[in-house]
Amino acid sequence: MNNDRREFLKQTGWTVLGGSVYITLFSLLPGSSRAATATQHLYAFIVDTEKCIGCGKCVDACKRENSVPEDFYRTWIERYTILEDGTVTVDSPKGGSAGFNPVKTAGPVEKSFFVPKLCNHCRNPNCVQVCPVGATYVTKEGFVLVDEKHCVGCSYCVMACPYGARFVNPHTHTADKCTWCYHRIMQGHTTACVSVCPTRARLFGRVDDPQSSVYTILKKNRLQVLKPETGNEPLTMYIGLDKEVR
Amino acid sequence: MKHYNHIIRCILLLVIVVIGFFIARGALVPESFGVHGTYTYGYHRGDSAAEQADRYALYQGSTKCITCHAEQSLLWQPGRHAAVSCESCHGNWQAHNNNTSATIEKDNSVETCMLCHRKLNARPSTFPQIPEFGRHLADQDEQLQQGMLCVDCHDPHDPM
Amino acid sequence: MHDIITSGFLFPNEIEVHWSVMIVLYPYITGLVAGAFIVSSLYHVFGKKELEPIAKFSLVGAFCFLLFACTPLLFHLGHPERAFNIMFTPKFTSAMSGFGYIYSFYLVLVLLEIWFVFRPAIVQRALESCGIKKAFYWVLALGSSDVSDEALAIDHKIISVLAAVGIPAACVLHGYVGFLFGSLKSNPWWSTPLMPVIFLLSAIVSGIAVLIVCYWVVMVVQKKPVDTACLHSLYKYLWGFFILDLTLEVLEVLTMFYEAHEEWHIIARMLTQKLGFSYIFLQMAVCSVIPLVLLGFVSLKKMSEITRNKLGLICSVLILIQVLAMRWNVVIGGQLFSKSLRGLTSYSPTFLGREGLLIALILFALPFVTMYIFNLILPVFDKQETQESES
Repeated sequence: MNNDRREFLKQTGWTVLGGSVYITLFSLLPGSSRAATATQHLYAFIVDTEKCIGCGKCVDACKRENSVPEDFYRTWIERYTILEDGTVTVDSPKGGSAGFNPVKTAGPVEKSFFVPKLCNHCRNPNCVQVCPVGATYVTKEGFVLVDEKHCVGCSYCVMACPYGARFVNPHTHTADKCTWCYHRIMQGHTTACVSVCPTRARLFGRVDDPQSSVYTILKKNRLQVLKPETGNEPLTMYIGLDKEVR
Repeated sequence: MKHYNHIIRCILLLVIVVIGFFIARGALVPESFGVHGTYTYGYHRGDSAAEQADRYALYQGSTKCITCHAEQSLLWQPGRHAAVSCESCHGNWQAHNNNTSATIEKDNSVETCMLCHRKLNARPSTFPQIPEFGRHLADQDEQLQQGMLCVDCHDPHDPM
Repeated sequence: MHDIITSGFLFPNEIEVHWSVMIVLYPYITGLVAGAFIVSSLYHVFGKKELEPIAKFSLVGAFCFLLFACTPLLFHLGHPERAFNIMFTPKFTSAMSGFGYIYSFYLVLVLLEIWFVFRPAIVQRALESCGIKKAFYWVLALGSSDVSDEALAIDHKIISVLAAVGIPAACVLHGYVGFLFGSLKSNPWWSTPLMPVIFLLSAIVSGIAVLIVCYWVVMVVQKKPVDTACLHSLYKYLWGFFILDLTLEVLEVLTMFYEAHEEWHIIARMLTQKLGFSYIFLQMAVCSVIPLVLLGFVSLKKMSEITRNKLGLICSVLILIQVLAMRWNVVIGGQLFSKSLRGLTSYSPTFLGREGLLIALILFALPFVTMYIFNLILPVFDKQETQESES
């Protein structure tokens, strides 16, 4: 018995020693002690569902600007049709990239509207939380990006996103999604979808700049986000979001 | 002690594997990999963001277009399509710039206008919409012919 | 991609199912590892002497399944050449990041235990054979021929420690696979704290069942009589763990049904319309009710040993199918309904192709091939040596 205990203590000792050596090695090798640059969430995206006309210009522009592969979408438009008897139908033919045609309904329409969707660039993105290799991250400006040179293509983030914003790009075989046109913003443009929207249903800008198009809306409007119960805290916010939208 | 010989060899082998792992890690992990911001949301290859920012923007915005197309801009800017950017209808600046014949994407079909102005239940009721193109022609003037285009009456740069 | 049948509305990126049959196979094989190892530990740690005939084999079985546990993942990854990123730059906020380390730790542990258990046999062969064969066994023995009583006594102690450490490790390995799914708040079919527990129990169940089936096959092929006491004991364990497993599986769905959150209506539609065969028929009816009842008789009722063993074998096969169906229903089922809760997509694996059924079948056959090869190098069912290693 005594012998067993000594053996056990010895084992524990080795484990602790091994563990500390391991951690030390990890902290000596590349990628450990970097100056921490605090992440700020400097930007917000506003979608005004009351202004969207479903022309699909945004989806088309996004596809071209970002070479989005066929049948996948970084942004898309959903059309909700709610009949007087309460039935809800939702459609998004080709993500809305070629606009919408009138639909025949089974009964009189109570209300109908478009809802553009895109990556929410959440404050607490669980897609980033679940990436096992650190291939998706939040930039210091608050953009959620994917490092396609490091991504292993496990699709765990695709599963974790509650909004269906992510997909695996069939050409790069890595996770892909809306970047809020990070390259354009860094070069002083606005996002491709915002720049072609004819009704200003999409707005994007800095939250701290009184000149930006989102500044007053953030201060004055009552805004909703998608699936707030996830705790992800989306920074893509909606005006006039209906209860049927998820 | 001499009966521990095989165990020592076994441990040595393990140590070699672990050292090999760290050598491989040191060689293969990019230099800029690490915590930038918080660990949860900022553990990544630091160079990645800069690489992604370094990509040419196809859509350059109307301000760039009107440096050459001043004539159209004079019509467009005070008109009711002022909120519609050049690239919404004419395609992106880069495509035009790369085009050697320097022609611009210009589609005068009824469908082009209907993309935004076809009557749909889901469109805001205040937005100008045409329920049926044939009816619209008849409503305006009896002399209007079938086969006419929107652009025959409305200048797309200033439609009213 | 165009011939996928959908109904209702799905987010446009959800039409394609990203986690394929490979991700069904991965937890299935991992489960067999955990289960087989627990059986070997019942003997090595808890001293269940009646399991002795299968003790060595369960360890070798666990090792062979473990060797191939991550191969389905390599066929699924978009960039398998970057697979080691998970160990080079693990981000520990991700449930998945632990995989590389937990898997490696467990592999080393099982490898060490096997080495110590088989060391006398290796040394014996190194001394008896000659030429290349001698060299091969000599390398396997790490050049040490010390099989004195003192050395074996030390080995025996180490085996006990490794087997003891292996139990929580096996639980972590498979509980963790369940956690991968259970911790995703975005998916109501996965997100339940019961998920790791269900995965663990079904792993143990499938591991015991696969050992029973393999033991049978080996005994039939080698024309040896089966050890009835050993099998009877395994049937009892199988029955006990299966009762727990099935209870939790039913409770999970019952709770979802009774709470009836907004997602229940789409989950109910998915279970009835899309998983009618694999969930209702296989997992919940045929492959669970029959083994549950039959194993009760097999474990408790007096009957001839031949009948008992035949019924037990049938139950084991049914349970293996039940657990496979359960993995399918979890992994594929979770992707068949839209996160908009408004529509369903469908999935049927291709036969050929990187993530097709053929590769899946080959990957599943490989552990058994490895067991066969292992047996050629070091006989697993040699009674003489088993006793030697225990002395």
